[in-house]
Amino acid sequence: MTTGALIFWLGSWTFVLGLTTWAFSKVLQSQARRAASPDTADDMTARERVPPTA
Amino acid sequence: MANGTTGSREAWGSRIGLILAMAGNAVGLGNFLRFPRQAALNDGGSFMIAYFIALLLLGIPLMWIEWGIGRHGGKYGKGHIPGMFAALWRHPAAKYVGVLGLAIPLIVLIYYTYIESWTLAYTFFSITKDYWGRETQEAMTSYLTSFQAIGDSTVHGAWKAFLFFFVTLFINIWVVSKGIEKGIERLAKIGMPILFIFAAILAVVVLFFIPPQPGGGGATAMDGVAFLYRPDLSGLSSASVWLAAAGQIFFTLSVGMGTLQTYASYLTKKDDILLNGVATSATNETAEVVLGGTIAIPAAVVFFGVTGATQIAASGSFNLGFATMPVVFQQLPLGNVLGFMWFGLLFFAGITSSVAMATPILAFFREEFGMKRERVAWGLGALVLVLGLLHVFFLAQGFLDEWDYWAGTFGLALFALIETILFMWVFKPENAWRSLHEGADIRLPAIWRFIMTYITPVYLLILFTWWLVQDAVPILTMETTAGGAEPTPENIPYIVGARLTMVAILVLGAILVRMAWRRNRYDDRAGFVETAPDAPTSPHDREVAEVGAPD
Repeated sequence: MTTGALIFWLGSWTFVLGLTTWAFSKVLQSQARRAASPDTADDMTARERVPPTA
Repeated sequence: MANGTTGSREAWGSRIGLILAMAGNAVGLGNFLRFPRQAALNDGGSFMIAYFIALLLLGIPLMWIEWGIGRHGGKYGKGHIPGMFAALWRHPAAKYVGVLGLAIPLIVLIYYTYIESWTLAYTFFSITKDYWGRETQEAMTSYLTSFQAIGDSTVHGAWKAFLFFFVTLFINIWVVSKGIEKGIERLAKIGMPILFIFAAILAVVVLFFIPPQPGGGGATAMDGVAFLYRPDLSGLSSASVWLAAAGQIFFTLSVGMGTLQTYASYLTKKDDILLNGVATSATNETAEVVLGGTIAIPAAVVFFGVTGATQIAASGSFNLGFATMPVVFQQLPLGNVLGFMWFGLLFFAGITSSVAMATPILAFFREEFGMKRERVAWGLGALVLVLGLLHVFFLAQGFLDEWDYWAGTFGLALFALIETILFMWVFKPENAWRSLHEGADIRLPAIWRFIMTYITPVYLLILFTWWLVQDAVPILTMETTAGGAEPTPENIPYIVGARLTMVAILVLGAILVRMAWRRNRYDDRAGFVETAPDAPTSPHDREVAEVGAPD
C-alpha cells in the first residue's frame, strides 16, 4: 500500500471512529448527569428509571 | 391512556434504543454495497475527501434538521410530515406539500421490502449451500436472475421469490404492529449488534484470512483497500466526484424520507436531539466507512483483481452483493456460514430501515383517523403485498428502477430541499436554532447555524439541479430509462404504469390529508395546540377519550 493510500485509509477510520467514540462517550456522560439531575423529569432518562405503568 | 391505543403518543424506552433505531434507519444495503461501489468508481482518495466534507456540510446538518422537524411536530401530536409541515408553516398548502412525506416512504417501502426479501432468501440459500458449484460471476448472476424470475426458470421456481417476499413483509408488519418500544426499538437492540458483529467478523476474514487467488493476479485484500483509498486528488477538480460523494452521504443517512422525523416525533423538548443526531450519523459512518468499505470491494479485488473488481462495481450494486460475494464464499472454509453472515447482516440492515418507512403511515392513520396500530399495520401490509407484486412480476420491465429513481432518488432530494427551506427559512433560523437546542446535551458553535441556513440549502439545490438536468429530464422524456437502458416498445407501458401508480399514490395521499383536516377541523392559519406527551392528539381522539373508543 502506498503512503498516500495508508494516510487516507487511516485518516478516514480515525475520523469516523473518533467521532463515534466522542459521541457515545458524551452520551454516557450526559446520561449520568441527567440521572443525577431533578430538572430532567419527563425526559427519556426519567422514563428509563421509572417504566410507564400503562 | 395506555400506549398502543388510538391517539396516545408512544415513546422510546431508552436513549440507546433510540440511537440504535435511528442508526438502523440509516444503515442499510447502501452502506455495504453502494458506498464501496461509489468509492471504487470515483477516484478513491478524492471521493473520501469530498465525502467527509459532504458529511459535515450536508449530512449531519440534514440529520439535525429532520430530528428538529420531527420533535417540533411531536409537540402537537403529529408524527407525520403533513402535520409537521403544517406546524412549521401556517398555510393551507403546507399539508399538501407534506404528502411527499407519506408517499415517498410508502413507495420506497414497497420495493425495498422486495429487495430485502432477496437477502433473507440468500441467507437460506447460503446456509443450505443451494448455490454451491456456481463458482463464476456469470453463474451466480444467472442464479440471481432466475430467483428474480427474469432469467432461467429451471433454477428457481417463481414461487420462491413470492414466498420470501411474503415472509419478509410479514416480519416487517409484525414488528411494526408491536409499536415503537416493543417492536422497532426491540428489533434495533437485537438486529444492530448482530449486524455489527457479522460485519466485523467478515471484515477480519477478508483482511487477514483470504490468501491471494489466481483470478486476482496475486492481489491481496490490502491491495483492495489501497485501491479504494488511492490518493488520486485529480478527482477533486471533477464535479461528478463531488456530486457522487454528496449523493452517497445523502442516501446513506436516509434523509429525505420522512422516517427520521417520525422517530423524532416521539421525543419531548427535554430530550436531546443534537448529540443523538451526531451519534446516529457516526454509527452509520462506522458501518459504512470502517465495515462496508472493508468487505465487498477488497474481497472482489482478491478474486478478480483491481480491473475485474472495477468492472463488477460498474455493473451495479446487486451484482457485487448477490453474485460476486457468493463466488467468494464458495472458495472459503465455512463459506456457507460466512455467506449466512453476509446476507444476514444485509437483512438486518434492510429491515431496520424498512420498518422505519412504515411508521409515518401508521402515525398518520392513528393520529388523524383514530385507527388502532395493529389494524393500520396489517392493512398497510396488505397494500404493500399487492403493490409489491408489481415488482415481483415486472422487475425486468423496469418497474422497480422507475420507482427507485422517482421516489428513492429524485423524490428524496426534492423533499430534503423543501424541508430545509421550511425549517431554516419559513420557520425562521432563530426559531429553528432555539428548537434544536431544547434539551440539548451539546451546544453547537454559531458556525453551524450559518451552515444550516445557507450552505446546506445551497449544497442541496446544486445537487437537486444537477440531478434534474442530468438524469430527471432524460428519464422523464424517455431518452433513457431509470435503469440506464434505452426504452423499448415492450417496456414503455410498464414504465408509464409505474409512473401512473406513483401519481395515484400521491393523489390518494392528498385526498386522505384533506379528509383528515376536515374530520379534525384543523385551522391551517391558526396552527395546532401543544399537547401533553400522553394526551389524545386530535379533537376526535379527545372525544374518544371521553366517551370510549369505538371498535
